Amino acid sequence: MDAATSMNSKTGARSLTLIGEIRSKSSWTQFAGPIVALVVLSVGFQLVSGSFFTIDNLKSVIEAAAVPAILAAAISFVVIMGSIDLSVEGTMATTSMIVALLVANSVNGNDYGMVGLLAALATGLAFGLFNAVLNAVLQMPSLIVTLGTWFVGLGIAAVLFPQRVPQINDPLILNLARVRIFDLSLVVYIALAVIIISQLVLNFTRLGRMIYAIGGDEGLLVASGLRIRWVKISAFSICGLLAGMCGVLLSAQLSTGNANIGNGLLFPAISAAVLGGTVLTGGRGGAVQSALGALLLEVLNNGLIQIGAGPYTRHIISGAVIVIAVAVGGWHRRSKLRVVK
Amino acid sequence: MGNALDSTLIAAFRGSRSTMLRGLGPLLVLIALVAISAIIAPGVIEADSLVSFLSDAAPIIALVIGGTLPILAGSIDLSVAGVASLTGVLVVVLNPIFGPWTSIVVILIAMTFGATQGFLHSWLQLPSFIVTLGTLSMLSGLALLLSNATAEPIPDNDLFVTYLSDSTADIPNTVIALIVIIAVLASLLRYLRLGRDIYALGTGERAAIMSAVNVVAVRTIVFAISAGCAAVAGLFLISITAFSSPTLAGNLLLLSIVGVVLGGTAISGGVGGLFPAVVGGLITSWLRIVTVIIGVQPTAQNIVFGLTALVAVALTTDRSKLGIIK
Repeated sequence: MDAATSMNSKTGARSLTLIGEIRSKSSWTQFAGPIVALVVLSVGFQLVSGSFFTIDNLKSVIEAAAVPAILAAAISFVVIMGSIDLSVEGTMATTSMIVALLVANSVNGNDYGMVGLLAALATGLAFGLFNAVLNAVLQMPSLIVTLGTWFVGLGIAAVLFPQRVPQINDPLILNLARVRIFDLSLVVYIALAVIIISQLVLNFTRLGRMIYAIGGDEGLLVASGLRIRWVKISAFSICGLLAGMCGVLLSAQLSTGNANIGNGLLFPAISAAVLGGTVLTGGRGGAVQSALGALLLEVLNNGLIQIGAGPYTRHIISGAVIVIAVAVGGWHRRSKLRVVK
Repeated sequence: MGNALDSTLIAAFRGSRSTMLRGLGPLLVLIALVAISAIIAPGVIEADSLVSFLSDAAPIIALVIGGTLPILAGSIDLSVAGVASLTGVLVVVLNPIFGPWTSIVVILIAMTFGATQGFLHSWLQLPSFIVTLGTLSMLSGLALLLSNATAEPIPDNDLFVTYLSDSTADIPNTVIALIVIIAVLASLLRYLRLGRDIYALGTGERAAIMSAVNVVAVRTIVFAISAGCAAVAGLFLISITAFSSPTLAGNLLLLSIVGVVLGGTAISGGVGGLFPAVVGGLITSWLRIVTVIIGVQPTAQNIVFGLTALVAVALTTDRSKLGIIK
């Protein structure tokens, strides 16, 4: 009886500290790091190249950061739980082919318009759901599950790819990138909306709080008898849906369907999330921070181009930046007995 | 507390003993696959086609062996395909400096790189997948940068590559080199403390740390071996194609992981070994032949192998051991 009481009080105390931690995380100070880094980088590039702070350049940075920011916000849902989603490149490839082949295009006679768009988003959702079922129901590690679906997605896109590159002719899709409000394309506004809604979901819904709690201490939740399976399924599904949306938006920007559309976007997305303060072990971060991280990476890319670094050098530098960022961010959590896989 | 640790360790060693049993299942799968394809297309088991199969399978098996060791120790190395591609480029780029010994120097460079990677992962306590995903991005950038994104012929004065592209008594030298590597690594795992430490890390890392296993050293060595195997796989590839391209091994990342799990090595660590790795590599290579025989489009191969990996992981994951699945 005594043992049981002490157990209960211990669990209670742990829950209290957990709740306290979650509350302290929603303060505004957490945005300070990425914003300071953004300002420092921008001023630095301005001093070196002299042409960073022009209206045109800032606009091109924002346009280029829009889709990576959505992707970073999408992946945050999964990363905050302490899981990982490597499949986004495959999801984007498949949804790009599906949207390009279902709306008015140069290859076949389809013209389903809105239905085609929704079908592509549904495909993204299906990818997320598939990952979720394998991870949450069949109890397989998300790393290997999403590695598998990554290549399945690339394969489906390759099989769907017709003889010629499908040009998209549907104004509904093309206008996503062409209609401009205040000289910024619709894609930017969609990205803003998605990021804000994601952050609201994470902060103010039961689902969002549970996502943070799973990342904080999943064992505690299981011990408390809470049902967490639906949370995992929802988080992976949201990530898949948003990745599908990125596939559609990128196709709109390129006005073609492309099986390689997501190539090289997975790593920057994870990097952006980490740079923004979303920790890979879970429990901390958010959609807005991750999006700020994506903006930071885009500023870095833009600045590196302006000071004359080639496209391949950028691969190398952003790879190094992320490893350093994760190392610095996790330095204070090092301990002798910490197990890191 | 002490008893609990002991029993964990005992369980760990029992686990490594039962790997032979686990290895039998995949072996039966391999035999069944070969038998079925022999019935459909009898040509595949003639001596000539078997020899060409082996030289085709050698790079994949080398990658699978390299990828197995980190997974046994509970980590994962996603950079192997990047190392293999960069190896081919380096053999061309460094040839003016090192002449006939270039490929040996390149293997040493790769091992140093792998050691650094393992050290960073372990000492900085960063998840291995993010470190190796980061280095994969850096390596592919470096390969494109050094080669100017063009394919180059392999210089003909390189001793090791020239040896590999030849054959002894009708057996390709790549296969002989592979057998030597397997023998060395197998005795390393069997007779050195390092081998036991690797299994202990994968089975119960906390218990291993408390039993004075030097985690940083073991991980450093494991990742060095993994990168070394990947470099050898890259040399195998260029000895077959006679050209180095910066994206030579681009599609082998999935195949190497598929090979690891198909052989019965558990992705959660501690269960598996070299024998399962070889069987897994053989199954993967044979599956490529089967997909051709039954007429799967080459573009659909990623779907087949992705789903195969998922099924294999679903069957081999030991769910009682993993408390919380991330």
